[in-house]
Amino acid sequence: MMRRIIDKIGNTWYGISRGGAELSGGAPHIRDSVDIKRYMFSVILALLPALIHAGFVFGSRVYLMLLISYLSGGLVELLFAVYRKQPVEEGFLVSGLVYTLSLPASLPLPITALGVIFGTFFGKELFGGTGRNVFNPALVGRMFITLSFPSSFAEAYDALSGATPLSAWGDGQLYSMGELLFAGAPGAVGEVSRILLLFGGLWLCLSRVADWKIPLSYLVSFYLLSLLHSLFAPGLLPPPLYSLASGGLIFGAFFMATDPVTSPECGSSRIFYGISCALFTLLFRAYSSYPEGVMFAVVLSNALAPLFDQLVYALRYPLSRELDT
Amino acid sequence: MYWKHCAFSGGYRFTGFANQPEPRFLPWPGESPDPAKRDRVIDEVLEGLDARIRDSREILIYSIESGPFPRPLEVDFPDGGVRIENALNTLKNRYPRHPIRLLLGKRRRRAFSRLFPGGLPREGIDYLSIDDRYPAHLPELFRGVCGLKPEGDLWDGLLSLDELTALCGERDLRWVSIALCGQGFLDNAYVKAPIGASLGSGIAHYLKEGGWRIVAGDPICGEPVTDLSLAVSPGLRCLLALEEGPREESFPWAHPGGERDSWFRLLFSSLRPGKKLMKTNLRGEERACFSCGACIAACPVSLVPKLLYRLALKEGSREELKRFRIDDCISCNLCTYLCPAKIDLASEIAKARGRNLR
Repeated sequence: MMRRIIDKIGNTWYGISRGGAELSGGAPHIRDSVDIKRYMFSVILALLPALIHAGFVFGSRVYLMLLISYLSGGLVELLFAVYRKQPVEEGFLVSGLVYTLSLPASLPLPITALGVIFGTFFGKELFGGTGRNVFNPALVGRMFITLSFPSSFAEAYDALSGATPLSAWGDGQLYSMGELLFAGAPGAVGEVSRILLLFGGLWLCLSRVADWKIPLSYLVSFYLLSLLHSLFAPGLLPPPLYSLASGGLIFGAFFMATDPVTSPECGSSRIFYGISCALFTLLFRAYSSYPEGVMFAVVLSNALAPLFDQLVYALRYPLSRELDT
Repeated sequence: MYWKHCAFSGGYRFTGFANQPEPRFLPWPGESPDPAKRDRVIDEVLEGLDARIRDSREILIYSIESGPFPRPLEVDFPDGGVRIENALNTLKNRYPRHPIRLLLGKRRRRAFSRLFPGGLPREGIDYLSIDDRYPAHLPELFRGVCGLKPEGDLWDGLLSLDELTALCGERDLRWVSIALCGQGFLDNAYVKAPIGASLGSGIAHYLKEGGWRIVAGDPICGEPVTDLSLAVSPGLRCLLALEEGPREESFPWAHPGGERDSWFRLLFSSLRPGKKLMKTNLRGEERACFSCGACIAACPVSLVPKLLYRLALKEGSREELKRFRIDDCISCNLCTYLCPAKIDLASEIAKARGRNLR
């Protein structure tokens, strides 16, 4: 068993460090230079500035949390790879990073590890591994520890240098847009660098790694829905622009909702998906006991993603009686 | 050795050989063909073309530069547009009842303006224009622009510029100029090959030692040439010798990619048009589809290749495949070319389409 695990670690490193041994079987004789490794690596690159900035704000504990996430998530991946006799895939490097950036910096390390283990096990591996999961594993893990350890989360958020933008609004205070975007407003590890997340997200969209339709429909429809909501039920939500720049909305729109595996396949269904994320975020923020709703909204929309695809296929390719003849 | 080409929508577009502003021709070092055999091939080609045009109701001549290796017009028409103009006049006289339309890609329209400084020949010819986005050069795709149907005699009236000049006696059909492209050739230039001669007898002279994949046509849709003893045919215009062999690379995913091209704009190659490296390497390993949507976004006929692939794998019913318009696939191979999971979607779809037709 130990030998198989060591072999697997060796194979994983070999898979990451070497490549290009396989040849195309026929036409097309050449292939695009991007593979899944480069695709995943680009998401990590896009998040790297926000991670480095978070390191300056919260100290080296952020990197320790990331290490714990990688080790715990990697261990679950490794055990499943040994069991399935398949190579370890590098998806856990992205979900581990997204997961860490969604946590408050002073969350106890055992809870951090538990969340990522739960997320990788129940959110990904039980469905068959990368490419087959229905829910975003980072969000499944984050949701599990949010619901299981509410007091630890409350303590972790209390330990911040000030109130988070959404709870500050509840207390009758507002941060300026400058503070929200340029790291003045406290929050989870990744939330303090919204401008860097915005740049990283835009780069992902421009490079076609993330589909721009998802963040655009998410953010625009959230803004419009908040505007509409404030007309009918004023006082339940902060001003629309403030809502847009607070909490994990930017992070969620660019890095959580755009996960290709758990979002719909078609361009038009991705617009419905973005609107669904926005609607659920608004409902959670306005009517639940959780001030932040992005995580729940994205996971719920993940469940609806196949439905959006089916809807678009049904409209685009209607069933015809002629086909039976 | 490199050759110049610029990126098109997900692949390559050949624009000429590096450091060769004027096309350069190499001598044919191989055997001369048997004249009787050669004349028979030429007669067959001409008879086939004539029969097709006679049976058609209209003629559509097309010239589009969207393929990965369209040849510069100056290679085939070094003396300007005289021969094209003569060919068009001959065609009008020979088939007076056939309406003639000329479909030009935007780049070809500019090239035509160079060939005809006094203006394009207009009398009795309708001009149509099309965007040179890959794979616009495939007749299955431009039929929509011209209102052609895939079945019926309208389909017979298609003529490429090569076929037009051959049919009207404006091209010497005893020879064909073949572009030798790729790292496998000692020199990247054109070779004037006699029709009917054994391909290997001349090409082998310019081929480097080692394992090369010889491809006739372009790197996306071209046919591999496994037998070099085949005769040179009039349709052979480009030969590629691509690097073959399992040569591993260190951290291939982390390379900045100045010499590699991609549909994803992650690489710096788009900032550096021109020199690009082509290998038969998959540049990654085959994985499970992770629904990136690249195949859907790039499909030129708005299909959902990953859905068709899924149906093809589980041998979906004929009705199901038809519902998702499998018959509209034009086999441009773009989905397979740019799939980051390196899945061969196009060939599975083609197999399923074959089963569906039977």
